[in-house]
Amino acid sequence: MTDTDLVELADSYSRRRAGLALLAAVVFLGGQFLAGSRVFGARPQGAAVTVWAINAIILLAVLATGGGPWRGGRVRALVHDELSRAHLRTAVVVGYWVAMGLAFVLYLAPPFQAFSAQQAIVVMVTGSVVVSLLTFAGLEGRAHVDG
Amino acid sequence: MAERLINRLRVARADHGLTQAELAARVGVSRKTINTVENGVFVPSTIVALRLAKALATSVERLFELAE
Repeated sequence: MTDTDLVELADSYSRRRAGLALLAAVVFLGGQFLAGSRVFGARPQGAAVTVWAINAIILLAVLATGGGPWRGGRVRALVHDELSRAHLRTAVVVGYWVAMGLAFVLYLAPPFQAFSAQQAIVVMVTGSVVVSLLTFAGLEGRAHVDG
Repeated sequence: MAERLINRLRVARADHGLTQAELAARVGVSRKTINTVENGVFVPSTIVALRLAKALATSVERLFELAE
């Protein structure tokens, strides 16, 4: 396989990763709506909470590493080059500010609606992870569009 | 003060008859990195700028210039 073939392969993986990030965000958020009070109730419990927590941890790991650790060294280096690392940093920063914004909303909400600590955590983590994934997918997708 | 960067990467690459993928392979970055640098969306690190210049047999100053 030539170096150019490796670049083409990495390009294909990178496009797929952007699509998967978008899909993961939609599925993760959609899962919250489908699970409803089992995850977002005042006292969430059962398998739905465990599934939510595992999904959140996996998606946070993807945001921390760029995903695909099983891929070969050279292809991974191309997929996860400095542009992708910059996109991941931007996505995580945007997610951080979303978490801060949601934290303030939850802090100011008690006069109208009281939230448990678990509900607050679900809202902040879900919002932050989903927005981070959407930001990453958007930046990566735009980078692939030929100018 | 935000400064604007002019880059001549697309022209230099075309002068060498290289595709974005071929230049990316020479430099060791992804094709989308070449694409975003050419479009002015992404400012590469010093290391990548030096590699680009070397791959195109030119200097960094010929590829990148601060707008007056």
